[in-house]
Amino acid sequence: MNILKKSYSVFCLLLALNILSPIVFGQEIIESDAVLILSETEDSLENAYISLLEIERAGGDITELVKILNTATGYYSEALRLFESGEYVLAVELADKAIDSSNVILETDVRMMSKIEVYRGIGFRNQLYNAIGTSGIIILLSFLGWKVFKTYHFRKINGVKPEVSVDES
Amino acid sequence: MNLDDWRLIFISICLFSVLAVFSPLIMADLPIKGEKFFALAVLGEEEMTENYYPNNDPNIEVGEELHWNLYIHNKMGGVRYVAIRAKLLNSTMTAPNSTSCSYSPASDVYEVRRVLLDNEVWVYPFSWNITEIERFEDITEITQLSVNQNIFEIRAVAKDGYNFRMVFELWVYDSDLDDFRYGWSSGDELYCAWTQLWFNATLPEL
Repeated sequence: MNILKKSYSVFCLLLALNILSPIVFGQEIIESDAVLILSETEDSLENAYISLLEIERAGGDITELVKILNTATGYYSEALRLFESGEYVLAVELADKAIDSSNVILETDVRMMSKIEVYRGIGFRNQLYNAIGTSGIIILLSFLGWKVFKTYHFRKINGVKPEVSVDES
Repeated sequence: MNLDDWRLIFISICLFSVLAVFSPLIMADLPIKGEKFFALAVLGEEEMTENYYPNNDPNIEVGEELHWNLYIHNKMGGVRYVAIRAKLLNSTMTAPNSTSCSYSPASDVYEVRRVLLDNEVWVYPFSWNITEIERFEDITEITQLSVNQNIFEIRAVAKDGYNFRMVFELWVYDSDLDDFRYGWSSGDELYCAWTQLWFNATLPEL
């Protein structure tokens, strides 16, 4: 009878532990996970911003990417607030969304930068060739214009030149 | 004018024309001059510099909602990642210093971040109210605040509830520091932006 009572007590204790452990220990794990993920999110957002800076400096259009990054910062700010109020699971969900959005920018960065390099090279070359060609035409036209003007100028001078009597004796 | 004068005019026109053709290429590599700055302001309910307080009365009761708008303009010549930090101070607490560009040591109540394109203006609604207040003799303590429907536990005290102030500081992400910093550099100078609005916290009349 005594053994039965002890077994029952042990069973109850194990049951209680089984029910309470996810609440007690699980919450701790989630909180530390949330801290880690929020820190990762912050890094991810900062890296995405640095990518934007690089794309902008290279001459790329970042308007759409800025919108994506702002969505991500919105998720992150909300995640921080949820974390402060102890809603770790929701905070982690939003932080994950923020990381996904940042990754879109980081992936775009690699593709866009290589395209920008190529287009910038082509664009600069085309501009240079156009400038050289146009300058050549300007110089040529100026030279021809000068020739025409000079001839006109000489004719004009000769036209107003007083006639000089020639002594044929 | 003789022929030599005309020749000089022709050569000058020719040279200026060639220079004009090459100018877009030259300009592309020149740094853009001009002052770089941020503008930060707090606007009232209708996004104007008025109607900051309900009935224009800066004595704020518990639960009385204030609708402000934070205005920021990026004129830094490129994209910037910024944070506006809101801090609740009383009259004796250290406010930010514009001369030394040092921020207030008080911890922030609320922070909002945004990536701004060059020349972008951003207006952010900042609605808040005091949700909890305590009074010990002549000391009034704000213990809880709600900003944009989020509750924040704080501790800000003032004698008789007079001269509290909501301070807004502009922090800019610095990629060299790998962190946000108060203010920004323009040339060799350090600049910063902050603004504040004063109010009195009053207990509801019994």
